[in-house]
Amino acid sequence: MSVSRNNSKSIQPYPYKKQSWFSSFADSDNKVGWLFILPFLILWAWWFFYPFVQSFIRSFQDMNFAAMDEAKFIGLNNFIQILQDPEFFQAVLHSLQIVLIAVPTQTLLGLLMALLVNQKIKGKGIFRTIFFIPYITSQIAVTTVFMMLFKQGTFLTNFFGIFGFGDVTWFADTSYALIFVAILFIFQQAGFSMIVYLAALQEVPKDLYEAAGIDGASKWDKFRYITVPFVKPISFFVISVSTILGFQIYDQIAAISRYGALGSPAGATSTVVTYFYQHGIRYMNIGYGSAAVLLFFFIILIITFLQKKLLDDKE
Amino acid sequence: MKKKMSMLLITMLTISTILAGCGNKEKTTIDANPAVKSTTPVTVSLGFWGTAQDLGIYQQAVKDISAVHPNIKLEIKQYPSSEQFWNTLPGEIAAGVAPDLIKLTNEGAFEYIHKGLFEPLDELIKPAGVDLSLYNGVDIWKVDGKQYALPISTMPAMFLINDDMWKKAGLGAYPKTWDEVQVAAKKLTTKDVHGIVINIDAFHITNYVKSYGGDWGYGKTINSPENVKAVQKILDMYKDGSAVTPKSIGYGWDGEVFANNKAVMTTGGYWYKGYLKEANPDLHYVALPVPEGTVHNSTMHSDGYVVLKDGKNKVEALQTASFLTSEKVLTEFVKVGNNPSLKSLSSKFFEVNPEFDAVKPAIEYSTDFQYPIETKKFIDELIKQLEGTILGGSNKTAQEILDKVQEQFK
Repeated sequence: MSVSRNNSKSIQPYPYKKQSWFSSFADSDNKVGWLFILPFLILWAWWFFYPFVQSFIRSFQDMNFAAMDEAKFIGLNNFIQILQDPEFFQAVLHSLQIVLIAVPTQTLLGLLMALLVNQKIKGKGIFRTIFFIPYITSQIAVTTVFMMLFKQGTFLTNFFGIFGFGDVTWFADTSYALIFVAILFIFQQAGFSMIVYLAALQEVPKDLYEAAGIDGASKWDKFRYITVPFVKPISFFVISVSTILGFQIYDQIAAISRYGALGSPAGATSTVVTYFYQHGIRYMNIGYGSAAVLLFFFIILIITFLQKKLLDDKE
Repeated sequence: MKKKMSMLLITMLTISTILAGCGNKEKTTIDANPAVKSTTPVTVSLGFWGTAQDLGIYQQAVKDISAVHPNIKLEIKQYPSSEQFWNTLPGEIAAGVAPDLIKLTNEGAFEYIHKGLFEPLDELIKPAGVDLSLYNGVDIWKVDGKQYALPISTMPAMFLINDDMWKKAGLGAYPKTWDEVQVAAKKLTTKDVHGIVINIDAFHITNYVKSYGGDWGYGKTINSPENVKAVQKILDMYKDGSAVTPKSIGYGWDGEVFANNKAVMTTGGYWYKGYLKEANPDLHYVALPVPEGTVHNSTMHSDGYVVLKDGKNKVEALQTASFLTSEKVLTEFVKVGNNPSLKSLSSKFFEVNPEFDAVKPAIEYSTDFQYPIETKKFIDELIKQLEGTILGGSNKTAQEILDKVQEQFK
């Protein structure tokens, strides 16, 4: 039941009249809102919906780039073939592994960096910039630099050797290549998480910390009972976006696989995106590739839905 | 509010479905009888990958073509690498933005020819005024009786040795067989330098295969005994530490390893000349025929200009190709190591490139790659299986590796 806006002490029910869709649009406030989002909706329909629908249709077709007009309907054959292909499941597994390693790590790192630059310390502006630079740097440039740093016999590989890692070129070894990709993702994505958490931290009322301090709360107590509840809502956003980006990782793998097969070495860095690219683009089997992407879309949708259930705090 | 959003989304979905269903019905009609010589100005776009020297030659050709074909404006598009080219081209063709004319090698062309991406030139030759009898290597580009490219060059693969390092090691005569290569490679390997770099790449593997009397048989003989012997030799050289892959020491390809003096020997092709000249002008190397496994054989590499099926102005595109294979332009390519297909320039090649003189006999016996029609899938599978053993420690034998690849091409 809605409440009227008059200032009388007794609350009167507002006479609610159901509006039609058209009159809702014609309402001047709503009209302005629709006009504001219309350009986005048009572009979104053109760049997302239309290709998505095309991809959906193609996934049921045997279609080749060389003869797109000769596409023929083959029902669920593409999906059946994909689900019988062990390489697809290997690609899904690798994608999941990257996400499970990289997303929590870069989220935590982002939060820690945000906590650091939220302090009253000298040069925090410089720290903020340094932490954010990897996020805005070209992925290929970062990958190229990391490839030089993680070559056999370099300082970093020797450093990691202390922890039991072999002195090998990480991106050329099937045991380390996927971890290398995860490290790249963490390095680049943590800056984005930091900025988002920083915005959330700056919304936390300072007097809460002061009051807690007066009541004898430790730093850990303040973090646990004040900071965490305030950043929890934004964590869903950070984790969802990072998960989606983690599943979409491609440029770094393409850079590593240069001069070799995508997913190199020996398919150790193959992901669902590289699987789609190989079949849909490289082998020109666009129908098969579209089916792989559609399956992947539903996987991400389910994961995002589960994340929302677990993490989203409506209160 | 939620209901209104849902209705809006459903409306957009419906519109998109209708648009998607209606899209792409038009087909570009091919003019089967193009005009003999048009004076209408046309732009012909050329796509290629290559070295900076290649780019320089094409940039000059852009300026010079108008003297021969006043109506043709040539635009060039360079791709960063061969795999970028092969990966980008299908998308460009589908989007209708692919170049009209492309320079490519016979190594990957077979798949595209069979998938109908290239225009057969037979009906364009007369209108374009092209005389095929002037060229060598025409038959390399003939499939099912149809001509698909104007050949630019033909050159066998070769074996390169860092002459300074070889002489410093006091090893005497250059190796003629893979067994001799293996022995020499062991002696040449030190802490910082490997005797031989073997790129896990179909081109290099195929040369080993051919030298053992094998071939891929267009997918029918992938796991033949000869091929197994060749791959086993490669695995043996990795196992005894004399061979290294570029990737495992942080390089992209074997040319980089060779140029940086990190390996003494490698298989390669004429294009290494242009690259090494830029990368390490002080490097002294010798070029020899690919060593013998059991026979004299290696791959014959041919570059050619093909006209894309969906290209515009096909006759002008072929005229452009004809100009680019004229004496004037090919003479420039000779200087960077291309053995020109033009018969009139055949003798000039070895005059200008005396370092390739030892490779001359290989012209007689080198043969085509004979990859399966699904070439890219074959290359990816072959590389994946080899990397699994060499970089992943999977301990598969050569027989198991090639059996696994053969399974995909029954």
